[in-house]
Amino acid sequence: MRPEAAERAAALAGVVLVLLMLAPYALGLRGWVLYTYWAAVAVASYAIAWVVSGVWRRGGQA
Amino acid sequence: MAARLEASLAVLAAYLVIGTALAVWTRRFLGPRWAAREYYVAGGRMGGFLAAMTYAATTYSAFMIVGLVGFSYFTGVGAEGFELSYFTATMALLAWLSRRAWRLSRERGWVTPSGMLSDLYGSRAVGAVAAALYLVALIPYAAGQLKGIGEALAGLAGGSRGYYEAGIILALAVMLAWSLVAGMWSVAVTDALQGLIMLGAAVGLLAWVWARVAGGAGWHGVTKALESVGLLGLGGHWPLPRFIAFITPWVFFAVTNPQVVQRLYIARDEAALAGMVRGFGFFGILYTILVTLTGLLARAGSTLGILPLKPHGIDSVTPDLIALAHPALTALVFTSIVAAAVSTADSILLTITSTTERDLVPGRESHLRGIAAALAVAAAMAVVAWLRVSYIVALAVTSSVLLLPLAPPTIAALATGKRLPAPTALASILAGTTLNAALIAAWGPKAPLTQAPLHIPAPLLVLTVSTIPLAIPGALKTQPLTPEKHT
Repeated sequence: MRPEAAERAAALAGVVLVLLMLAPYALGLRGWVLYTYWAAVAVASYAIAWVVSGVWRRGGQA
Repeated sequence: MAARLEASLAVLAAYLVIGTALAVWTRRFLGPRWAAREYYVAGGRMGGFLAAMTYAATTYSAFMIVGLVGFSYFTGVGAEGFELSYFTATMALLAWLSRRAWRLSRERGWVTPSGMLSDLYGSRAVGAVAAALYLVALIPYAAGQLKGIGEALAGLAGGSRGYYEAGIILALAVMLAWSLVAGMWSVAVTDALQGLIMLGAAVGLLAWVWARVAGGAGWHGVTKALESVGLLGLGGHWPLPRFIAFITPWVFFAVTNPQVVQRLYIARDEAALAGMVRGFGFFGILYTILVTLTGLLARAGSTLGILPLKPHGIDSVTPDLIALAHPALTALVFTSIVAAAVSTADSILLTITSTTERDLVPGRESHLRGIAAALAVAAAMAVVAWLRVSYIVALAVTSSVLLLPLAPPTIAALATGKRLPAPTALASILAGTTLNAALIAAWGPKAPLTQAPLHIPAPLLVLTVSTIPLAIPGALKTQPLTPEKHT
């Protein structure tokens, strides 16, 4: 995968993930489920950044 | 109290000695001494670990170990969502734009974020406006860090004004020494030390609170206690408009705050840049979980009567909490508060010095101009901290809203990587800034964060107003970047 394509995909995924941070208001989440949900969304964003930075490290060779 | 004060001062002294020795040692890495790109962005020669630690320690100020612990204590689980919204957006922004910013910074010789905007919009005026905005927004924020150190030291000494003033002087001296001795190199290496202290103290504090509270009442007891005070839901403290108001400026922090944007230029290669993003991400998510859990457990412990806490405000939760701990843990957490404040303040000082020297008052590059700019900026920070006025806090929390109008033109320029029309950036920045100024004039310094004109959270309105100029036909007409640079 080319770095530019990975970066564009990360941008789109980022928009979705930020919107997912608001989803507990619609889903009615609370308690430790809510705490864990938010942490999981954050971990997902970290995983995406990890994958994209892996593409940089490999010089664009997926 | 005497034992705690002595232990804290001893650990603080050790931290200052080690930090200063490290700062002096980093002079060996400094290339041609007062070449601006070398001094302010390490010549783009930094490895991944140092880059990650300086990005993290610069981002996470005393707001985390003091403010976010207290925020979680008083407002519950929503505080975690607020802070992790910043983290989630920052990971996406770094994945999307950081390599582009890094690559262009090397090709174009960028030193400052305002210089970057000048170059991408082909106009010195754009950089000058951005540099002026940094001064207005960040001097009070950095002064708040100095004030935090003064308050922490005074708190350990029973509220003494003399200790408060000593704390300001100490913080000022450390901030100047660690940033001026070798520029970005000394800041980054001391940031690495400070970041490790911050993480170590946060782990120690959570382990102690966990053992006391969850160890005593069990997890079920903790949950029941937090439920009984309504802190495990979003209803009372975190209605949706408030959540949106708080997260909007934070979501764009990575592209609006110059002290972190400048760090996108420092990596020596793409592998180091990847290491910076990954290392910062690991630090950020871990630190956020540690401090929010600490705040929630402390509140459960207080509700259950396990911890005799009666904090009178958000910022007094951590000081009150560590006053109950073993003096060694008190000393470690106290030092971590100082470290968090210094690591943010010295980075801001170095960045504002560079933007003031190069973009606000452009002229011939020189050692003396740099030192003079640093001293002037530091003096302004010290005066604001010395006055101990309450609105420093209000201005500090709104600083990111004040910088929010920079988000649309910065993202547009980096996303295209080409030259855009200067009027687009000027209209965008001035529209958002005018709205911020109007909000402050009408409702006071907290207004850009707390007001909701037309039932829209003010930060969202500021962002919208700043984005409108980009939607005008022709506003994003691109041209290739010309060989001449505007940095």
